[in-house]
Amino acid sequence: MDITEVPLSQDKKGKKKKMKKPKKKKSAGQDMSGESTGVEKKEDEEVKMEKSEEAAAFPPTFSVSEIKNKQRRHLMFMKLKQEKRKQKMQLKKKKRKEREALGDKAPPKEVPKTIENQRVYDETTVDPEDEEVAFDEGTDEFSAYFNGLTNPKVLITTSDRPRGRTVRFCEQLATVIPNAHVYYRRGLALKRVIPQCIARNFTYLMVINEDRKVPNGLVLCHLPEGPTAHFKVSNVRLRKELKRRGKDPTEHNPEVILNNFTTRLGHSIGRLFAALFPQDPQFIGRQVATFHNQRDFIFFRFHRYIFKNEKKVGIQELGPRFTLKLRSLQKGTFDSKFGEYEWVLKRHEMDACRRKFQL
Amino acid sequence: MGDSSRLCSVWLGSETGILKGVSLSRKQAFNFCNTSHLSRDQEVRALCWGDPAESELLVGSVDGTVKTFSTEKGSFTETRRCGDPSEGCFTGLAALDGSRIITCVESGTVRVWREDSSEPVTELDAGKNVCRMRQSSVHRNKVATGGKENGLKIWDLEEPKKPLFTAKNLRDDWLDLRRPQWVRDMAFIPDSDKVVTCTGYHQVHVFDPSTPQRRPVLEAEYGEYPLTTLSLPASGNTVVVGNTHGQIAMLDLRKGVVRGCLKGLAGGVRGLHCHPSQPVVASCGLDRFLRIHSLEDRKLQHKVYLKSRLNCILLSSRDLEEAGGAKGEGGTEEVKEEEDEVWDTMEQVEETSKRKNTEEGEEEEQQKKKGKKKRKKEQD
Amino acid sequence: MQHDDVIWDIIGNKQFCSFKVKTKSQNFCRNEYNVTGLCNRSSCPLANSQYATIREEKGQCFLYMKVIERAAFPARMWEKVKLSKNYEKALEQIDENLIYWPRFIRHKCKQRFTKITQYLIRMRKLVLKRQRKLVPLSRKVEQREKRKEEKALIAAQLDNAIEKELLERLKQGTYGDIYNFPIHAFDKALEQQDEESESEEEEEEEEDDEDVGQREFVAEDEVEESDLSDFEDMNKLRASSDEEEQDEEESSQEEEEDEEEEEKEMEVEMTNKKKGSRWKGKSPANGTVVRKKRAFVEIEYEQETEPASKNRTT
Repeated sequence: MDITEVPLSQDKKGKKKKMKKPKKKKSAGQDMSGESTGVEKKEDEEVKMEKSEEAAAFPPTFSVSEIKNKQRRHLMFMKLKQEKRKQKMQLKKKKRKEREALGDKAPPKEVPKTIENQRVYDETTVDPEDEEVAFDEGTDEFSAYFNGLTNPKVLITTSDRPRGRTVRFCEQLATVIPNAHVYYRRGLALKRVIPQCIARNFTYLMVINEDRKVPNGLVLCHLPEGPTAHFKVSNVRLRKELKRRGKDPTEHNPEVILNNFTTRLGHSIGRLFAALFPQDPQFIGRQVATFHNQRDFIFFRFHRYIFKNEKKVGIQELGPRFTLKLRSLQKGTFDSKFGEYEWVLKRHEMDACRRKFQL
Repeated sequence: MGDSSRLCSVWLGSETGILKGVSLSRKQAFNFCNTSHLSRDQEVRALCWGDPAESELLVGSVDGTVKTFSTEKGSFTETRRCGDPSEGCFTGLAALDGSRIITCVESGTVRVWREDSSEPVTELDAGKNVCRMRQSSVHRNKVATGGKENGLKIWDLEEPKKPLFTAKNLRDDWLDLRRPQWVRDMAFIPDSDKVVTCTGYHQVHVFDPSTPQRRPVLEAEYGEYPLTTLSLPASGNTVVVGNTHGQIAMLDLRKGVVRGCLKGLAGGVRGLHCHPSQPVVASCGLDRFLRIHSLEDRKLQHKVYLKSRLNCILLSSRDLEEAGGAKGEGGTEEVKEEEDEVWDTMEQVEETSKRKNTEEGEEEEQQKKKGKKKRKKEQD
Repeated sequence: MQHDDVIWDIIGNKQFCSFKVKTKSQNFCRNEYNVTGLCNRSSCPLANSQYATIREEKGQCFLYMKVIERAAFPARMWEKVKLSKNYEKALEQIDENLIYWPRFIRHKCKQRFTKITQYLIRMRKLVLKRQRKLVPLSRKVEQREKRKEEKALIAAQLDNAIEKELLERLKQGTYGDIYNFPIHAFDKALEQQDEESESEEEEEEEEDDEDVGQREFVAEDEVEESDLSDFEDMNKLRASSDEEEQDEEESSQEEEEDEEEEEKEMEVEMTNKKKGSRWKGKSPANGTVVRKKRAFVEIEYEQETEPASKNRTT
């Protein structure tokens, strides 16, 4: 950094002192021959710094990379950058002044481009007025829960031999989800577990998969007739690992926040999550579980909140936290071989556009 | 409604019980159903043309009724009860001739019904767990059935006692384990006796009843997920199969190799139908989209979001892109305004020329242009 | 001419045989016709003129017998007999075919046949059992997803989103009568709280839920300046280095991990820290995060002062 800044200051001096005279000469001499050649000819003459000042305003065809000397090139490039930045700053200043001058009449500020607002329109985005979708949702597998006919009861288990964090993760999940029971898998096949679960009125089967002691997958199977979703789990942080966490959660039914589930698939997934929790949250517990979808990543957080007044709310994380990413949604209960998939993540086909989101 | 129904060239039956018509040339989708009493009982399980002129559609619902839909009038004209819902849903539906229809249910009963009587004319038992019944397009008396642990059987409806052909299961594998059977769909290959089937164990088999061999004369495999449905394109020697993972492939029927895959699906395929003359295939399934692929360059041509899971699909035999004849032209304007949102939800994948709400004439011009462009592309 | 002893002398104990695999305790034979798999005089398929073995081809067992008269035509040297699938019958077949053969070979053939039938049975069992399917994960894609996730996390502004949603619910009246804010009374209560809060112990009681929460947040207020700066640093790092922290913790827990890996992690950590320090000045996105945290603290502060002033006026 030092190297570049020194010549710059020189350059500035040069500008001030030699501004008038050499510029005329140069412009007379170089306009015809083309500045790029001029620059290269005089490259070695270090005394004439003003030349570089001109070079900072290259004709559009010239690129710094054509300069052969590395140090020189570096220097020029730095200068070019400096110049650009300066221009940008000026433009900004000008704009701000204009805004100030205009006062109230100033045009509204441009909204910055984000991936969210540049999102490719998804034609399956659910219109709340749509009768057909409403009917479809009203009669799907979760309708029993949403009509208040069933109460959620969740069985949490793991892949075959859980170790370390996975077990603790299960236990903590069980404290977040009311009416959840953790069972050891004992090497049982899921297809055998499912009928038993149904017989005992479980409405969810949750299987956490682990790889080298790190939880990395989640199968969420709604019972008795599906659907089954498979998620990738990442960034699991248990309660112990959180900073500034609150005390352990109480046994009250938490509220659920589902954010940003807009498409048809997103709605299905949202309903899947919503049906995990009892329908009547106990507000006295002041606990809230959040599933926030952002760019197809579903962030799970568990908080305790407090309303300070109508405008302010404080939240404190209770943990655990993790991120889910949908891999597939399968119709019916877990049957990875013969089940029909409603949606499958196809990497090459779906990830091609980074502004296209599925949920 | 009659005008809009005449425009439609693609018909789909949905899980919510709605019959959907799509007009590709006008990029519109229509729902033909009473939205006030939607119910899952109405779920469409089978769809077929009622007459060769394609003016009538037969719609088989889960509740055991077959409804007749007139594309001329754009409404359901007739409902008749065919069998008991307790026997399972329809797995096949076909029109035998003007007044007789064939139905098949999951429990394996194939019945022929006459229009005027409520009792079946003929009845035959094709065994348990039938997954599909199909009719031969040439000999309309011939039907094929097959299902889980229920091999392919070909029947002549004139002699319901004994099947014409019963397939034998594959040989045991090298560990002497029995190969499970699960025929999911089949089709009669035109111009020959052969029948092609696809199974839940990702195999495609070709049976030839004219030879004494009762095992398949050709075995091929595709992918690792159950194949759900197949369709035969107009140009012979290939078969298009789809599986539960949303993969569609063209397989060669001579060597059994994969000729190419059709991309773009997100969910399992439930229905596939190749156009009887054009090289296009339409697919629908659990991801609620109708997709039309060209079989020549395997590109996605159209993609339409239809809001419900789709069970079955039927193409009319006229040109897909062509507007629905001169008759439909008159009363379309108000329909268009109504269906503006539908228009917006549709998207033509191939060309993204900006559509403006213009008058009728301009629109036609646009279509002509598009047609020309396409022709050019084809030439290229 | 076939001289067994000569052959054995050549390939035997001391010298070279391309089928021989030497281990410390024992020598093994890789020749597929070997009946025992060991390298010794009696079970060498090359150095025995009279030899028989069992081989399995695609689930079918065959008895191979050497016909030494055809030694000149190695392709036709072995005579094979298909064995019945029935175990008993197959043993009888072996007996029948090897009737005048040495006891050793007959016995070894039977042993080998038993072994083969057993492993076929085991294969069948495994095929019918539930099978685990391994899905390859490309490291490139995983890394990309991780990066995307970090960015999504920043874009999500989770705390803001949650707070907004909660306030929205409050406004809609989801909570009914639980919360009603007669502001002044509430403020008074707050002030009383303030005085108490210093000496107070925390307790988990639901009867007065507002109190509980208040206490907790007051506790946060008491964070000292130095701690605050720590938190700031944490915020900057948090988005990117969460994972690393976690990894680190883990690696400290389990010391089985390779040193190399740890080094790599450390490197990543370092780069992240660098990034963090660079962000301090420039990145607007992160700036907001920091500011947000500051604002968070300030709000608390305001709340403490406000009621006091209001109280004075009332």
